[in-house]
Amino acid sequence: MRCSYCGAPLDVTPDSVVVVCRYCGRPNFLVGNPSDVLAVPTLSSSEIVKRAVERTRRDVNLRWRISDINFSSPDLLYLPFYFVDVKLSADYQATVVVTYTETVYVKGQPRTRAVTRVVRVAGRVSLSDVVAVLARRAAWGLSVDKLAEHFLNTAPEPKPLAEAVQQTSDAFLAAEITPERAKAKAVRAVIPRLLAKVNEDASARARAAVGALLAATFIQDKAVDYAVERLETSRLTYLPLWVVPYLYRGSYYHYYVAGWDGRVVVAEEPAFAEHRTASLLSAVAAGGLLGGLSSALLYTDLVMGAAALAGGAVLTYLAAGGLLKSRRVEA
Amino acid sequence: MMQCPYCGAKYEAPPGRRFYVCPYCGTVVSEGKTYESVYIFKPTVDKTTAFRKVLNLKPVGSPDDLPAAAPTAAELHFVPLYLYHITFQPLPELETYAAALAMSQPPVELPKGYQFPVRWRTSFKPSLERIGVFHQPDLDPETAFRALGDVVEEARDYASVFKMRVTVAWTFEGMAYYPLWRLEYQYGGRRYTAAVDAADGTVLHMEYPLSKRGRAQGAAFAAAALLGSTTLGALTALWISLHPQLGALGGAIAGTGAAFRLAAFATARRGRFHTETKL
Repeated sequence: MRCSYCGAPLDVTPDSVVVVCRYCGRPNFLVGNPSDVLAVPTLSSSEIVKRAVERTRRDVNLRWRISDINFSSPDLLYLPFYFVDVKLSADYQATVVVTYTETVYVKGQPRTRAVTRVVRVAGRVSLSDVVAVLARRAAWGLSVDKLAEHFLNTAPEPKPLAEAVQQTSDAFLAAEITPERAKAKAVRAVIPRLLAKVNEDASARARAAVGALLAATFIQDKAVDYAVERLETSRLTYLPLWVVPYLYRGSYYHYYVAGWDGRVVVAEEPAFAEHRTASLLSAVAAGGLLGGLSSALLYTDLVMGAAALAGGAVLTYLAAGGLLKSRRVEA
Repeated sequence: MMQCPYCGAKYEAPPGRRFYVCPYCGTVVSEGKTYESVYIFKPTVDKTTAFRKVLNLKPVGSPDDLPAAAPTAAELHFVPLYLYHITFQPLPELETYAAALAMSQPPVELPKGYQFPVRWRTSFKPSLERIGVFHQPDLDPETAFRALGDVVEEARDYASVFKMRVTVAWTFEGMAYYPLWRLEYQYGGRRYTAAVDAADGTVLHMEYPLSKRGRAQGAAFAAAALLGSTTLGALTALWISLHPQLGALGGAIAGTGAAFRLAAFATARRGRFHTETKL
């Protein structure tokens, strides 16, 4: 590949979106028409570090240890996204098992008994949302989700790529998927939520049908027919993500920072004594309360009592995991 | 022998395989078709940084002087991955991308369902072979695809809700090489291993020595969890007007979960760290 202005050779990699010519300094766009691609401008690297320091000063755990923290120079990544506006609707039929308690009077004495009924319900639900689709194959990170979420919450204005590119051309990651495939990914992302909404709606209808609004429900079977009512995608949009390392007592941790406003979207932090204490207390609380209460159950129902004790042991096992962690993630 | 249609190099090609990968440029040839979408995730973490990340990680119970441990071996491995695009007819909306390891015995253990980070790719250069070992895939894409059972199962679950039978079809999108550091270090006369993602610097897993203080802390936490749970169990029973002894017994049994986990940590031969969340 050669520079379209001066003909000098360009350093091109599979991730080259825009290459600034080393000889004439002009940007060469390798993404077709650059006006079809948008990018959100970023704050400068020093401004990002400043925001990271401010966040540390506000953090409940880190503010007391700030004198032991040193920030290093951050790295910038421009991640490609499609934002897909999707609306799905679903017609469903479901068989719902509803369990509730009712009070009956036997010889004038109130008695509570459990009633189970099977109800068939049908309905229609719809779900619309804007889904951020990372335009890369088989790649992910928690910070990617959080960055897109923060973009949708704050809505900074993206600019045409040519305006947003300054000296940050190396930071761009090439898009690997087409808008059509991004649309399919968005529908797939929404389907579990649509099905959850179907479950919720079917449960509510079944409760209303038996007239017990606080009943427990279980969806035994459902048949869903869904339709895509709206599916539109934005232009390819680049969002800036800064990875800011900091050193605390010899160990490196990272902040993941949104480039347009300096908000830390994911923070990796050390696990401190207060976190271990909280884990220990939750293990003690889970074990003590469940153990104590299950002793009451043992009087009436041996199997249920033993099950509650086993459940307590599992809970304390999980809670003890917090004592063995050296790092935590705040998102 | 096979001649690469892209770089012209000749290489050994065992008969009977559907896919052949040029060991020089990574170009894949299958049934007369050439796949050039082979790329490499750029290694950005050098050996020194990889060791520093491991030895300064400070996992729970590690000795304070672990950063002074002696690095004994470091190998950069480029592990081959196959990239697939999977479709489910007649539900095109379920289509997805997935990557599967193309080796049956990778030199570095990858966490189950490891999500590859969003990092830069680079094209193959012979100079990369001087810094790391490029592994030839020993699985063909059909066999490697079986590791993606979860992805297929998830789509089938959705399809069953829509009362449809789906036919799974995949297209082979190409190959990627992923750089991983396999490290070995020595502390107190014993050897320990670690693995670092060379594209983004994540410590995937590491073995480490447990200090006396770390073991004592683990044992103290185990005792505190058991004792605390027993006491709270007795108080809870008392509160609901039952025998406190029975509550104490219940609390002690429930507390064994935590006590077992912490005691296992305190008595283990070595500590083990595994990364949990891909950031």
